[in-house]
Amino acid sequence: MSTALQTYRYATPSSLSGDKRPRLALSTAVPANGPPPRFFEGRMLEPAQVAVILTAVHLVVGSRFFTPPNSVAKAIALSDPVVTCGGGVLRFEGFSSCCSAYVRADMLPAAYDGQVITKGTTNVDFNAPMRAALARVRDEHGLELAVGPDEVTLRCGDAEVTERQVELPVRWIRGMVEVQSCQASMRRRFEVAAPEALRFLRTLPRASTSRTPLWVVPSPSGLFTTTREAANGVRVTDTRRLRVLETLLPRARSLAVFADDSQQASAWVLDFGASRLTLALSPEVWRGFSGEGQALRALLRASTRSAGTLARVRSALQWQPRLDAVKLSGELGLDVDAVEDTLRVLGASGLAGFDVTEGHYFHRVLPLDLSEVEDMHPRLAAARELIDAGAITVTKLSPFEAAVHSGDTVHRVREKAGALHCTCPWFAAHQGQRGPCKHVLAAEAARGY
Amino acid sequence: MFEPKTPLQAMIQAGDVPGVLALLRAETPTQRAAHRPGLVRMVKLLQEAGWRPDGGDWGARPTREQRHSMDTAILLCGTTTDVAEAWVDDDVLVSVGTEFRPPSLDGLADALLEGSPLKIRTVQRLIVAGLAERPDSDGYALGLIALPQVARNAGTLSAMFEADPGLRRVLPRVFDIEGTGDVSLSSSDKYNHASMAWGPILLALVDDGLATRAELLDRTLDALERDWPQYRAGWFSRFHGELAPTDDELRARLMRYLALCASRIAPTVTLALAVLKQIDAAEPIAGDALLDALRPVMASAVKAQIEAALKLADRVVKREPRLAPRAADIVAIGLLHDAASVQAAVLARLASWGVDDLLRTRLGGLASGLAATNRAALQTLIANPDLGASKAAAPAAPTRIAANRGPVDPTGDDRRVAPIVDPDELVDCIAHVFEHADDVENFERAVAGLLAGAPLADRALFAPVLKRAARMERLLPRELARLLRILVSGEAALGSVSIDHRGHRSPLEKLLVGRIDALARMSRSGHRLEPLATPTHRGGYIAADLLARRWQAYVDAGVSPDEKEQVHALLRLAPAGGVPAQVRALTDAPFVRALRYALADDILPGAERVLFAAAARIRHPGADDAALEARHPGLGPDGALAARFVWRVRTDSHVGQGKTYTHNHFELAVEPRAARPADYLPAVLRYCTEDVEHRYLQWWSFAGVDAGAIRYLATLMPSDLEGFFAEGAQMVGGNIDWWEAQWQNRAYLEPLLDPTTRMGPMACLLLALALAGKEPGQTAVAVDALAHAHADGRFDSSQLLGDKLRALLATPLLKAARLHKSLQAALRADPRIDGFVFELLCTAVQARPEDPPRDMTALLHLLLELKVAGARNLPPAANKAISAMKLGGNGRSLQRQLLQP
Repeated sequence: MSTALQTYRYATPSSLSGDKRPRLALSTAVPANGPPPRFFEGRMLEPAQVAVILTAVHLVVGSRFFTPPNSVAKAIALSDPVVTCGGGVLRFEGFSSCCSAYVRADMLPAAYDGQVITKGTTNVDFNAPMRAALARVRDEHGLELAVGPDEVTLRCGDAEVTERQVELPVRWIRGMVEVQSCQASMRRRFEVAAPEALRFLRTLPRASTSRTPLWVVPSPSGLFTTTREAANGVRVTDTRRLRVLETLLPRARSLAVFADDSQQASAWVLDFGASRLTLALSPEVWRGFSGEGQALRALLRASTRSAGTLARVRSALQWQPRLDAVKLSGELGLDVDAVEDTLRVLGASGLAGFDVTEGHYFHRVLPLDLSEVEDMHPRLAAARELIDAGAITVTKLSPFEAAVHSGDTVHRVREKAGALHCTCPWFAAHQGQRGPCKHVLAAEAARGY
Repeated sequence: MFEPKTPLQAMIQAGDVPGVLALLRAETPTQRAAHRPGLVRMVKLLQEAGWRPDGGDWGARPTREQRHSMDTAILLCGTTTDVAEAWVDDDVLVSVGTEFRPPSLDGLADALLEGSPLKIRTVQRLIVAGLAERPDSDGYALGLIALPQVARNAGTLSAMFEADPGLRRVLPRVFDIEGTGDVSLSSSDKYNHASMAWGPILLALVDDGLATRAELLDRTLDALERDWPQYRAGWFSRFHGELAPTDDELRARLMRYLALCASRIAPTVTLALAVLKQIDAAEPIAGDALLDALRPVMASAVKAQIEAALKLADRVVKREPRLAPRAADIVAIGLLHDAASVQAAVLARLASWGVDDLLRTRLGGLASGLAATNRAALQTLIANPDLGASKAAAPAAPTRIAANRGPVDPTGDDRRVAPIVDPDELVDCIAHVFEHADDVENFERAVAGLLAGAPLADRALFAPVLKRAARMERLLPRELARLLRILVSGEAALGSVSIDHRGHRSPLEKLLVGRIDALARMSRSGHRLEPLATPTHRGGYIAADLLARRWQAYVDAGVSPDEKEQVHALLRLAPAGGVPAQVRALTDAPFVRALRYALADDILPGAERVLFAAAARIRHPGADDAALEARHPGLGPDGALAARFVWRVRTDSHVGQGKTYTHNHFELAVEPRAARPADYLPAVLRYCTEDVEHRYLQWWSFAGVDAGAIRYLATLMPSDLEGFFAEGAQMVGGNIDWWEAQWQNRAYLEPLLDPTTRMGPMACLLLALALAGKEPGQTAVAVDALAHAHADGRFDSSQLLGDKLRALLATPLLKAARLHKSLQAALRADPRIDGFVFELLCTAVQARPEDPPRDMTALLHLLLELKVAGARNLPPAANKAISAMKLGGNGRSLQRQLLQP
């Protein structure tokens, strides 16, 4: 299956009303049975800032930075953003239609004066007229924000529901969950003040640089880019994706940049004080996050643990904005590694997001029907097939060596400098940077981790 | 071959249209539907036959009658999707559809438009014939945008409007959608005749009472508010101008224009500012609202927008002086703009409007990127010099390359290429090359590993790579795979050489295929020796002592390596500054003598001219070898005599469709000219492709169009890359405006980053061209090359590169604005290059002082900045050239400042 049908149902479109006392009413998705959830009602303390942040989320969701050569170049927004409310934090998540950019706006408690009514996650309608109206928001006029229908609308309850169906590519869904694992592997590389970041962004070429990886490097005289790999820099391709930050930076305090050790994906976090905007970029604009395979080992290990571990950790999530593995392990009486693995598995299952600034997962349930996606992790499924078929023959324990019978070929998995290497094309192409190949996964399972 | 299975299929094959119609008239809808599966297959066959010269399984090109019969049958027997995908003829659709009204017509209009908006013509025929309702879909709106494209001329377009009276009424739907890469209002106006421009078509709706001005204006603003990509949004800005709204119309929409100032699309902001200026002139806008709207504009990267916003802010402050502090707070962010003139304008406002303590602190944070020419003004404003130097959240200093002196030794220990000794590592390496087709170093390692000692009989070991070997297409993996198949599988795998569209065989591929063939022959004769020409050090270099050891191994084994391999080994020899003892200890042989000659031993060239010609290039890199020329005259460029390069820019222009098209051609010639040599002289061969006279028209350079091949060429004679860079200059210079996506050309720039590379004339020429290239990735590599070469101390002086820049700037090929950007990027990457860039600019600005090239002011700006920041003086020649320049406006002011001592 290359696509999964996703239905968006809204009672009313999201809108901004009132010029003198603007009220932004964000419409939450109507579930199959019951009314749409009502998450939040309150006043935003920095209205213009909220407006530009939500505009940025809408922009990323509607962006397509790459069009496959065999596709019709229709710039369409594939999916509506996702809103999560829990622990006093309002989060709006979105994913570009090309699957190469993930955006999340976090409104922290200091950003609003209002009331969190319900905890949970759902889709939220973002539409072009609403976004156009956001440009008119002024600080002096204030901004009321409602996420979900007001009580009157809820009581009426029988309003006509508008339904929209989109076919979400499986790679889009995979990417949306995989990006959480990618972020979990990242660490902070550098941080610069917003004026310097803006000055730097303006130096970036306006045309696509998707064919040339650039390293963004900090220096005493400011950020600069180079085509040479730099240990203290962060790799990024197609810097057009960063342009969405340009309009936000005049209002931001600083820009922090995160990347994983293999310099694949990166996350760019704007700090506004009471709010944050995270923009995660895939390693290549044509690649998306799917296939990064960051969570495969955790998923495989989890399958060998008792189902009880997963259930216990899951039951402790409780819409917490900060899931601390050490704390959870203490509370649940589980091994820290097991909890960390389980959180990673929950992230890869759409049940937790990762906040790269905090360095912790947070609870949210992605409103996608993942059960319809037959094969979220094809490499994992293939590794399991190899294990089930008894295709792995361990030939040496230390350093580890195994022969893996795959089709009509026998691939050799060997331990080199503490890591497992394979003779398959996947490994030769990516050298483990995009997660382990199915042969390495299967061999690791045979070795017993 | 197709065999009909039913009478209907037989009639279609026979092209019997009346027969098909008669048969289907006699059938019920259910009976017709039963034909569908077979007809769908036939449609595919006919479509394939249409483009295959042999007609594919249909057997021949389909006749008109066959197509007509097929169209009729699929329309009556197929589904809506079948008909939409069958490219049914419009006339058939209308005539047969009118008679039968088949179910396939239901939803056909939308289905056709889903496939392509260009199907609007067919859809309009269906609507006019009453066979389809007018769709209300976005697909139809996209089709409407494509109307001028499908109509091709104004007459046909008018006829379409006349044929469907309701069509013009729905034309405003074109405002509702963004369009696609191929079909948008912008591209429609750009690529169709001016008589079919969308502006007049839509304005005519107002004249004819089919739309109101208010409707068109509101729809235009709706579209602009959606922030569609600049190319597409630009049309709406232009249409706004054509609509020429009155002051009243604009005033009624004031809030929308204020909001458009926050657009991320530059033309939209420019439009909004122009409108606000007009509204404000007619009747002042409330100062608070206007200043708020200007806040995002002040953070714009577009200089003209900031200047326009400053003028609007001036008006507000003049009217409402109480707003001066707020205006100052808003415009301060304009100091982030990199143009010194913008910064100066902002500073002037701040000085005039006043700066409070809060803003003063903020200004301190904005000081770090300020132009040197404006720093004094800022320090006066903030009245605290220390603030100007502060840097918010300054990151840790990166590790910089220490300033070295000249190219490094290519045979240093850190550059040693490790030979493969472990069979498993060999398999890994082969697999790696299969997936990384440009990796020359590992290609050479894998080739050497296969030949030197691999357990070739162990097929199981190589099974994972053998499986893929036959599928390799790019040059390096293909040749490695061929060697693998020959040695391990015993296959007689023949090499193949790519042929360009003019029938020329790739010269470099021929060379490499020949080398692999020779190596395979040696191995099959039972000798397991490392190839003589395998690089021992990165960049393709072979250290003399290691080559001597390798030669001795051949002698010990009683094997004489192929002479071509000997030539390659000599060409890859690293300069050693003398003859190592290992070389002196070798038994005399022609190769050994050539080797000693290459290493500058005191001997004369021998009779073996191919060996001594190769040796001469190492002995006299970039220079003539008089002794060899006396012994073997006329070998050609980089034979006994070093190649000399002459370049020029040729401009030609032609007129077409009333427009003048100008083309600049970068042409490079090599001297002494030579015919294809009879001997194997790879260094010479680089300049002698098959069709010497028409080389500039050829697709192939010597290396061709494969990045791996270009990298391989760089290792052919690594100690003197001038010929390689000359070819690179030709390729990069010939595509400086990126007419064609030649991604492989970046491989020519990569050796410029190598610390062993000397920045000779051709290296500088290539670098100068690449710094002014259009493709940002390629330019980024050039910027790095400039910074690294400077940090490595590989430029003897700035003169060589400066001269190239001056010469190129004097031609219409090089764009000064691009060069300016690249030099700024280099300064950001390594501020220590400022003095070097200053010297470069001092030389470069001497190009055509009497008629300075376009955008010269950008370079003068940078020169002024470097002059002030470094307290430098212009050299007399630069001073004279700048004095002679005839500049206007801003340029004249710059000129004055530059000429101040």
